[in-house]
Amino acid sequence: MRLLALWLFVAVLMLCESLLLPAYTFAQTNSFTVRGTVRDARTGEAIAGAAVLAAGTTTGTTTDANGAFALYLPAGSKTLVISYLGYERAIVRISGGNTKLNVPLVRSSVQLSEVGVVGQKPVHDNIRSVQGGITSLDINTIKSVPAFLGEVDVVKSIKLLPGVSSVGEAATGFNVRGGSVDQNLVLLDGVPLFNSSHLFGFFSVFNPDAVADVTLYRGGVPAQYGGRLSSVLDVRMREGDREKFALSGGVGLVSARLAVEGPIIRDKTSFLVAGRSSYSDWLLRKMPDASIRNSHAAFYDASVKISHTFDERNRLAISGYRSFDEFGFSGDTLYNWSTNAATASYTHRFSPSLSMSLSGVYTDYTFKVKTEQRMNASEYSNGIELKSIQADFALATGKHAIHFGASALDYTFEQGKLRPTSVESGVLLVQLQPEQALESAVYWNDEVRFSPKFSLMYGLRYSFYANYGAGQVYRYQPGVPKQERTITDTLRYGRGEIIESYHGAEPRFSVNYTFSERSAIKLGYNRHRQYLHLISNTTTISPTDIWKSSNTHIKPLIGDQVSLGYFRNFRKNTIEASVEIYYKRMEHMLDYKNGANLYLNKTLEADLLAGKGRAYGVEASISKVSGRLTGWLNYTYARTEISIQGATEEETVNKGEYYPASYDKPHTLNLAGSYEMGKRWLLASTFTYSTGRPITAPLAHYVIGDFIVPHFGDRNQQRILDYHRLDLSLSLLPDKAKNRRWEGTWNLSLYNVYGRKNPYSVFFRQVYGSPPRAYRLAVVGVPLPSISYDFKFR
Amino acid sequence: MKEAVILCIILLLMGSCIDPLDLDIDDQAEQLVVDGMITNEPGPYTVRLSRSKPYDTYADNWDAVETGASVILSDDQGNQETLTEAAPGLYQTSEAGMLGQLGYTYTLSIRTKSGQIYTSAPETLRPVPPIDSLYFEVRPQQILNETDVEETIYMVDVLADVPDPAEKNYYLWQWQSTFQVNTQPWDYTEKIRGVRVPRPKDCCEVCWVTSPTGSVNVQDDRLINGGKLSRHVVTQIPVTEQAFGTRYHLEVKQFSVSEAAYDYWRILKAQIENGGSIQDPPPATIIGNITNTATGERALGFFGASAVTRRSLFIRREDLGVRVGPYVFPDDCRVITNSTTERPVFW
Repeated sequence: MRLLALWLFVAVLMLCESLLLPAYTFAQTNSFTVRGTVRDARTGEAIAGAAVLAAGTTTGTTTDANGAFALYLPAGSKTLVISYLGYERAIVRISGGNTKLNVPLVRSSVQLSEVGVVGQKPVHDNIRSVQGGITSLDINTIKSVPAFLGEVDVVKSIKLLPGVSSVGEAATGFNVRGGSVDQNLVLLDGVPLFNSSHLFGFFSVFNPDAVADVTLYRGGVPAQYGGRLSSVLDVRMREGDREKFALSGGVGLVSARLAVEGPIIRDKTSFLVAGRSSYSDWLLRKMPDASIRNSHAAFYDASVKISHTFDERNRLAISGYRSFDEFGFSGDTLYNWSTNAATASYTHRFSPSLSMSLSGVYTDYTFKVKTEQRMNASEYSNGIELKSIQADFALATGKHAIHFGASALDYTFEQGKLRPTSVESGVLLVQLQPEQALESAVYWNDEVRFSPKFSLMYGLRYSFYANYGAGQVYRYQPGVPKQERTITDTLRYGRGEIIESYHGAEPRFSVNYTFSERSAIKLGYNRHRQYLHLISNTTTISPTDIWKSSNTHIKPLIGDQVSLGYFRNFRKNTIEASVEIYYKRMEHMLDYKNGANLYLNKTLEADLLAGKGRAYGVEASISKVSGRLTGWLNYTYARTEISIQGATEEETVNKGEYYPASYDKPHTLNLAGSYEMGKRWLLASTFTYSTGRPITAPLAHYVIGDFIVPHFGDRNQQRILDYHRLDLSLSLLPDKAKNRRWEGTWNLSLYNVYGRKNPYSVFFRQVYGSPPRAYRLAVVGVPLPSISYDFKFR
Repeated sequence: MKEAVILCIILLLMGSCIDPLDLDIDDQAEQLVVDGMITNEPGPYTVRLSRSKPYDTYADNWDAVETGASVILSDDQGNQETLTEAAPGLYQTSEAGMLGQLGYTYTLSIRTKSGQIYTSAPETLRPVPPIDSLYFEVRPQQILNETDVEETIYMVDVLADVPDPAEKNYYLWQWQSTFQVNTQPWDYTEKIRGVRVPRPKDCCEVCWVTSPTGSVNVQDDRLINGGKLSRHVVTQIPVTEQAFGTRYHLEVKQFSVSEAAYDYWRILKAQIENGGSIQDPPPATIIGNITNTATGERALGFFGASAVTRRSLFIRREDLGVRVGPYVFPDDCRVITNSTTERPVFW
């Protein structure tokens, strides 16, 4: 609480200071103010985070969520440079007095930059932004990364960033700075997604035609975001064109995409409808193997976004999204998972410096297994549903860029349900009691630019979480491992009655000290609380996993991260380099008892164990942001370890010592580059290397009855072979010189160029008459070529 | 498991593959392995003692038996019996010795030749309900044969209905299958004065081939407690010409097991059936119930106490409802593995 009081005090102090600021600036008669708004030239969409810089000085700011900025400039400033990732840079002349500007930015398409022009990208974030650990990628950068089977993929690109890793090709999700997959808040237009994968993780659910840009926060997360421990992946959907109709799409080996956009009311209302569907079924049916021929695999996703501008002060955006996956094997069992999401957000500008954004979100995620055998006809399902509202206020006064607001999220966790689907079915109805919870938070986040050299972001988020009824809670006999048979009592709670609640402060700050325009040092601290848990005991995350609420037995995760980074740009900001170190401590990390049963288990808490986690590492990155050759190289050293020390042998893992998490990969090296050849050819390549992930290996074997049984040692003490892979792609871009209405891009790619059999999993099997051996399963064991064609029509 | 199969198929499409791999794993000390059970059926009861072997040694070289140990079985009523070593590593009670009783609690203690003392956690022999009915169903199944061509085979599902008592129950099933083999003695010819004439052997025209339990089958009553365990799949038998030449006999033993034994067998099952697919739970040490009294270290294996009920079933070839062709056996049926010319008592 004292900490909280301190933060409140600081916040109030800062606010007072900001209110006094106009008087203070008044004194400086020579300086003047420029206010303005930065928008997408075509869609009119506000651009948040655009860099606004007075040319020839180090004075600058970034735009807020509504694209607004206010900049106090020393006398004599004449030119503003406004830039944002994925847009052409705008240069605006300003006259002396207090000015109000409206700056449209033109989106740059995947096209070759003109040779010799330096600094296409802003003098941006790397040095000036207050926080470290943030990377933004615009969709064009993502498109230039060689794609797996020709499918442009947001998550695959994210995995090439420093501090991000995954356990392999078919892994759902990714790991950021030692966090498990469920510690990433994945947002699509502000809607949290609970499963971001298609086809067991080979592809992600984001349709590249509908995505504008992607920002990954792995540190320095502002207080507006919360609810997850390790990262925020903020994917923003594009808005439709407000002036002209346009069609875009693509055809690849696995799926086809189509997007239509255009005005509903010219200059006021626009729409974007984008869809993508696989035709893997068609491919499967061409296969020589009968069992493959009879299997079924398909996915689709569709998104809609409508934006309406009432007037300069009022805007409304509505978006909807659905993603669906289905798998089947020889017709009798079908697996499917789906996500539905919808959001509406209304933005109102009270004054040039204060605006408000209200949003409402609905999303659900359901996983199902349908069995159609006559006698066992049944349907198993689990899932999660979320409804939330959020109010966010943005206040930009002088040196301050303040966000404050509140949010409330209401969750329903469907823990598992098995129901018969025919009268003859022998399956009995089993339904685990769904869990309900309300998570609410208030926050205050302030970015203060004290001087061109020194800036600070501090924020406080205070979150409340209540797991509420109807529900029942088992009481277990103290002192012995929790088990079904050690239940002593069942407590029943009525509808709406609070079962267990948690709350706590989540302070954070980042400090930036800029030595010169070219180098800066940044220090950050973040505390996060996470109330949701993804329960899975498979080696990797799978769609069968269950989302679970913090409750009487399962405590929320608490994570503290400290990071320190040095950032330096070279050669007129065309080369950006950084080194960051971090240390993270996590409380109440979940792991599983040996042989845990997660399926329809009403005493799930008895199969879970909680322990301490620690993660630390160094991330070094260098990137070349302009010129014919662009790309990045990064190296990460990262460790993630867990210690579980329970009261009994059953509740302790590896004698309570720290052991590596199953996604602990100490060394990771990523190299991504693209090279413009001539005017229309783009050659891109990525190379990635990482240490093999830990596994539990058998140390011995023995005989029980007729069985030869492997004896496994301590958890996660061996490692599988290192992972490395080279990908290449060659794109033929449209001829920019001819301003055609139809623009087509061909892409040829080769995944896993030298055909390395990277082990995805290692397992142990014995064939009669020989000792057990280790075998590896390589997901992609051969070079995998593909071709795709993308088009745009206006 | 199904997800694993599907996933494998997808992976196959992408040129994924499975191949052997060499891993460096340090050799481990050879641990004591205990495998035994007392039941409410008349003895003798057997306890097998052996040692674990390093990961990459041949499983066939079972020089790993633990000889010269002193093994004592005792119950909570003050009875005890010292087992005798009937064969190397194989310790047995005597014919007239202890008989497992419902409700009694049993403990095994072992003193190895090297003087280490181990005891098992006490296990109570709990009652087991009868198998109400044991029956079978035949269903087609698509498989891929060696040449990757689709083929329909038929599987016999052997199913059991069991009334589940109200309290918590855990079950283990074991079974033994027997089928009759009729050879074609007339196929055997000998040259007599330069002419091949049939010379049927009279030793070995008919044999009975037995095979043991091939997998671990355990079940709890978590989802049906107090109801009926219905249509529990005991085992699945592929319909082959060899096995279903005449008829097929299956004797099923249903054991009551303790919760500890259930956990033990369940994890053991997961371990031996773990295909290593991405969807399989990670492997883990199987914690048994035998502890070294001095060091507190666990030995491997389990000593259990179970009540047993048996039921058997004949499956006649003509009842399968599918055509089963003839099979040509060696004319001396005794060469078939696990075969005997002695007619089983139940045949």
